[in-house]
Amino acid sequence: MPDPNLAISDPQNDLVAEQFDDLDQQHEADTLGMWTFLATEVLFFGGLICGYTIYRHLYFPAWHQGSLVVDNFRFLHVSSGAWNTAVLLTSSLTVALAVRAAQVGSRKWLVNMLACTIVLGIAFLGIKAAEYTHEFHEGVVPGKIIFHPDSDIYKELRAAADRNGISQNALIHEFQLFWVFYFFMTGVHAVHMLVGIGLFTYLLHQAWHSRYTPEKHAPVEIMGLYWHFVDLVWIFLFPLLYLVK
Amino acid sequence: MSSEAKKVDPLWLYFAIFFALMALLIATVWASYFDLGAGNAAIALTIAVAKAMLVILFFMHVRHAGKLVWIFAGAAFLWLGILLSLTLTDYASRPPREVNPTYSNQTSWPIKSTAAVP
Repeated sequence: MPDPNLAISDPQNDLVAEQFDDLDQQHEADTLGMWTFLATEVLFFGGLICGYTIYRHLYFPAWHQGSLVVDNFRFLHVSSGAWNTAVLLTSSLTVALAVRAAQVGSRKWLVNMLACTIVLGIAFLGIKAAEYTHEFHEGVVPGKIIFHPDSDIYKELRAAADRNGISQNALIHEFQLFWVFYFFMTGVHAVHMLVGIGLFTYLLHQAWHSRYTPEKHAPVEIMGLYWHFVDLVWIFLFPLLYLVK
Repeated sequence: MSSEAKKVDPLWLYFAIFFALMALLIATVWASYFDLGAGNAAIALTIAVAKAMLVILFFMHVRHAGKLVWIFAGAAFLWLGILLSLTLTDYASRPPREVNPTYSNQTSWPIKSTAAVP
């Protein structure tokens, strides 16, 4: 038989789960759990970046050609990767402002900033999709080599092979490995963005129904950490894939 | 509750960090237009680390976080440092690769083993 006296609701205690002493401890546990997950993510992307660095070192001439093709796709003479970095940095600002709105209890700003974040996340994926389409038409997607003998990329690859004294066949295979890394790194990052957009749609729904208060908004904070982390990954992918040649 | 309330940063700080990040982005793109050899990669990655620090400390609120969070976040990058430094010193200390002489005649990766299948 449950003791009826225990059922009396205490608003302060409802905020704190049974296993915690107080809100501060609960807050630290929430943050710590998210950072534990992010630590595994650092090593996950770190392994890819490590492999990328090694092969860029080993296959420099072919990967140089790969970077030139990535950098080729521009809006207003600026690399699409730079625009995407700007979009993601702005989304990080809106996430930080959303967390602040939750801290001060402004439902209006929380909803606005969450919505802005989702829109910016979709904009990022849109630019990325335009890049992928361009790269597909350039014929650099790994798989069967489908360069037209007269295409610029094919001519440049042959010239690079002759310049560096490498067989054309070897150079084209090394060039393809660049694209395996490129699509895997940006692809896994894009999947993280999709997950982030899903999480933020959930947050927006909850915020719309006023489920977050200045005392209890842990989901906004820890999903905010996730979003900042995905931004952080892009901060490193951008120079590695677009700027370093 | 008072310690929670103290952690609300002023709005200007978030905008200041945002403009600093944008300035670093413009700087890194601008620097990439000059051919500095290996210097390009060094500048690009230094700026990336600077941007990452701003995001981690200010946007992710690690500067307000307790020691445990610092240890966990620090451990992630410590292990990343071990992963990168040990792997890269291994590759950097090896002689340059020797190209497989049969490589140039292959139409696919030389993955076929010549060993007899048991």
